[in-house]
Amino acid sequence: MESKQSSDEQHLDWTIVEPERIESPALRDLVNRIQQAKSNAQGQMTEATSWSNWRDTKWKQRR
Amino acid sequence: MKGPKLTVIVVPVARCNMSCAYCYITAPSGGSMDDTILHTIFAKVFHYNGPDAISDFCWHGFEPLLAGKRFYENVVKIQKQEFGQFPVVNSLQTNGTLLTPELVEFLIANEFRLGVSLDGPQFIHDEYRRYHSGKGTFVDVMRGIDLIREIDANIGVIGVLTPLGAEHIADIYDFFKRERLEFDLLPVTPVKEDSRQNKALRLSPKQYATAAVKLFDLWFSDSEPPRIRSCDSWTLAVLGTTIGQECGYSGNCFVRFISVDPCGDVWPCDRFNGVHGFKLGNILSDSLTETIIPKAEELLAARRKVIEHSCNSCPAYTACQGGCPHQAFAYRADYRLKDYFCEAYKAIFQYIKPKVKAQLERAYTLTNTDSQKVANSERKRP
Repeated sequence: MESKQSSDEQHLDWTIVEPERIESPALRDLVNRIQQAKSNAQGQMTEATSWSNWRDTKWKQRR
Repeated sequence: MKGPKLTVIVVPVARCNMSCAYCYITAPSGGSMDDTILHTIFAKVFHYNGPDAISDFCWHGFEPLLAGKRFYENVVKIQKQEFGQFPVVNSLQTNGTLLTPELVEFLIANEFRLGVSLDGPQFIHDEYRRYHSGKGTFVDVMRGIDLIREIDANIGVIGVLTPLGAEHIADIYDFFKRERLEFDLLPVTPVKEDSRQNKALRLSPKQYATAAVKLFDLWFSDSEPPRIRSCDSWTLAVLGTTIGQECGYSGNCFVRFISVDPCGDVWPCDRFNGVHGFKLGNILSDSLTETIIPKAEELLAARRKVIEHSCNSCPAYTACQGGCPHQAFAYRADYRLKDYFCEAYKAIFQYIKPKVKAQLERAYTLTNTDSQKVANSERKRP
């Protein structure tokens, strides 16, 4: 049972999927954004990855 | 020890020019935030978060634009002149009716992220979002949105989902898609029995789940879907990641967010503003590290203890973390209990998980098949 569950969860592993292979544009976009966010060194959501560009990488230029 | 980065929901003014039928604010109307409080918020929060983290200030609650343009000019001036070494993001959630070309230009020029409250097409929005006179606000809100769009800035819409909206969820979807607006839909937040809120506007978990899965299906199968934060959140929850996740499913909202009211009193979230037993301190007199955050941690720990006991065996627990403490408080009079919409979340996650899983599985298989083909062709090379 336990191994079945772990196999079940494995198929939800968004980190090992190439987003462009995902058929649903909505899911493709979301996986793309969270993969980018994960790869961001500081773990911050960036301009490209946030839901509504809530975080902003441009603050540095503003200062 | 310092906890996670703090986002501050600042309520600059305790007044509103509208009288929405489902308004959840129970705190009494009052004045505006003064300079001393504003300055103290920045000083304490910027130093708490440090120069390496982006400090978020969300101007929200009642109608923040009633504070006036000069208030926000002062916000920007203090942030730039006195705390210029600290990265900052300001967001402002408005009902949109008070936006003017000058105000929009100023806010966008100073990189405020604008959120507008809009429930969907006019027949849904105007049913409940009205001025004190009873007149609907849809036309004025859309005028405000157009001002923002004229300068090509992003807008995030937050709408409230009522039984009427749930019944017309496809109309809401079509409306926001047509208007090219990113949106989030939150169920009506109930308030105590003696409030002026019309209880018929509340959604049952079943009504919420039914509308949610319809919305998800529209979004998931659309070739050009609008961005919907609610759908993002349900999917993120199923994927088991907290990246970009909404506060309600995070399980640690009390230590990631605080709300400061116009008097400087600090609360775990603006929804708890003025609620007895939830005051964390006052920003003028209390230290974030010594008083405010430890009190928030105490509240959070008390909830975790109850939630872990009641939700531990639930398959959705890792996805929802017990849900929103305020939804628990509002419906069940105890913030430590699980979210009132618990059964809805379970139904939503149960519905969307196989769909998400099937897509990821297929994408994964395609990736592997292609990799295998490449490996085989490389092996065949002389």
